[in-house]
Amino acid sequence: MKRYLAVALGILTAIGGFVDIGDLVTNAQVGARFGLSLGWIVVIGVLGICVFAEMSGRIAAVSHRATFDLVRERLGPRIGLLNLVGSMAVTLLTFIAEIGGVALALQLVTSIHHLAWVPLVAVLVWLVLWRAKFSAMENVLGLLGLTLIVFSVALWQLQPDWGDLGRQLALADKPAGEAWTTYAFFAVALFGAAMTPYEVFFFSSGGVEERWTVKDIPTMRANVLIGFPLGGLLSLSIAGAAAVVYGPLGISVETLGQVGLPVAVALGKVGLALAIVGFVAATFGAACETGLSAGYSLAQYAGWQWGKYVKPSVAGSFHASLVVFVLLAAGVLMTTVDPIMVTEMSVVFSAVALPLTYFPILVVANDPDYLGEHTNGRFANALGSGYLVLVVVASLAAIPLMVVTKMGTA
Amino acid sequence: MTARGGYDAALHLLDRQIVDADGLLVGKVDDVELTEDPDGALVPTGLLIGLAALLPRVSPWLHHRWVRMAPQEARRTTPSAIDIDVVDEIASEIRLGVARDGLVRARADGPHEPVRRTLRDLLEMDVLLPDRTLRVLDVRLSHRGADDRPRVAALLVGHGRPGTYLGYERSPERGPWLVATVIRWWHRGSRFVELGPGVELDWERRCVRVASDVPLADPWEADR
Repeated sequence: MKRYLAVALGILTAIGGFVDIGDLVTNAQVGARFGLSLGWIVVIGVLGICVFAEMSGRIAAVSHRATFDLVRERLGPRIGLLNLVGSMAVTLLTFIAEIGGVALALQLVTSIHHLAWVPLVAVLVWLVLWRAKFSAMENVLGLLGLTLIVFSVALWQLQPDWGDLGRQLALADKPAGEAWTTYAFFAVALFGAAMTPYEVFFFSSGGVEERWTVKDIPTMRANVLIGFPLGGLLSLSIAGAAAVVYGPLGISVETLGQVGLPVAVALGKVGLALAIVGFVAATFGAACETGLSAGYSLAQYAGWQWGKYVKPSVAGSFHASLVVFVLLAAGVLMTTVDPIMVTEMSVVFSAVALPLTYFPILVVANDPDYLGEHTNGRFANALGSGYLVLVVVASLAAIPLMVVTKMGTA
Repeated sequence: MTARGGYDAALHLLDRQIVDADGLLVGKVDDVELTEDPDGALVPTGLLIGLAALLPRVSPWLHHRWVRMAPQEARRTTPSAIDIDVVDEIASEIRLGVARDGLVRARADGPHEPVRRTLRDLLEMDVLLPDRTLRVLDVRLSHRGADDRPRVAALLVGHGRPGTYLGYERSPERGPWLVATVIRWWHRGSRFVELGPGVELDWERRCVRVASDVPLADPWEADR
């Protein structure tokens, strides 16, 4: 019974933990402009993150190696450093965006400018990273993040033309007024938001910290294969609600308040309150995850002692790097940069950084020296190879598309 | 690690995590120290740790700049080491039999010290075959001598950079098909060079001279 409870809890937190500021903003923007015609990218992205999270979780359970260990072992110190710089840049951009997201959500409730909230939120994030228990952090924030289900309820209450939404999703029906390059740009952004590399850094490092063994593989798989797709459904609901409310009016989504407005239209104040609780929990949880992930990747590249479970006196360099990241994030936000713009940048660059992270995972998942009898089967390899090609294409296309479409504004 | 003919230094040792007896992390294997035995054999004797070992592998230019910032510091040019004797197990991590405190030390420097090389020196060498020039891609260590110590037995030579085999030459059936095929095609011209008569390591000129009568095995065939 206890085991099933653990599985259920893991799945629930995976749902809440899947959605972060990148998913919230990008899905709402895309929903408003493209309806559900880009929904198939969310489906592909979610399947991709499942494939690689499962591999990295299996490697963590069998060989106790986290993802950035593999990056350096398989790519060497030079290409490994290139990946470290790229991934850290993306993860820190996301970290900045998440802290900004929490501050923006608090601004929605209090009407106090988000810059006033930034220092407080940064200190709170650091306190959680430094002091709070891993499981407590994941469970509380993950479960609170589940309130984002109001988006699904809102979509249902808005009584959309389900046939039309289904047709957009199934036929990838691009609105006539949009150029193909813009469509492709947002496709890459959505793909990057779903497959962002920090998710595997965090997932595998968490597995190593919680001392997963071969016995934990089924639980890990259930979390990934049920939790992430349900999280993807939340993403689609956000896009759907935005499509129904904003689509006909031709309004584009620029603020976090606009992301939540469809819920207010459908369910009133209570719905909006729940949505904001969901925003705060999801972005705060993701802020903790991205902050830790940046520290994990740096420490795993350098070989430092790392771990949220390890006392600061034992893992000094790791905890010092977390302090630096929090200060950096707060500093960048205090320059009055728009967190929403940081979010858009982070998902695009995450698409660029993907191949150098997912290639070593795929190689090691086939290495019997690490995994013994738990190496990839044909199915995992077929999917893994397919996604490897896909992430390479997305990473090559990301920057040119960003320039050509002027970040989707052209 | 039970593959026939020992293990590969670049694949199995370099960049692996070192873990101490209490499970605490010590560092990465940034380079490996190879000591010349009186009989000429190269024996791995230490794991080199720190920027002095890592930076030359990342970028010699960067390393040079870093040394020039404090030229008086010997530790910027001579890396510190962990003795290979304290290594308990080489698996997906390098497990030590002792605690980590104060473990990484500079090597003694004196006239009676043995000649010490590094794996990086060996991995950067050109290999002059009678008909072409290749590079050292990996170094195979095996237990061949009378004592229990592994020693450098053969060089894996070919085009490209060390470590780019990713272990695929060790088990030809390993997937995924796409990656295996690309790597096999890329390294199709690579060879095993067994150390022995006819193979001369020239540390001054950074090259390996191989006589024309030395047999060269195809690594894609060797392990089958």
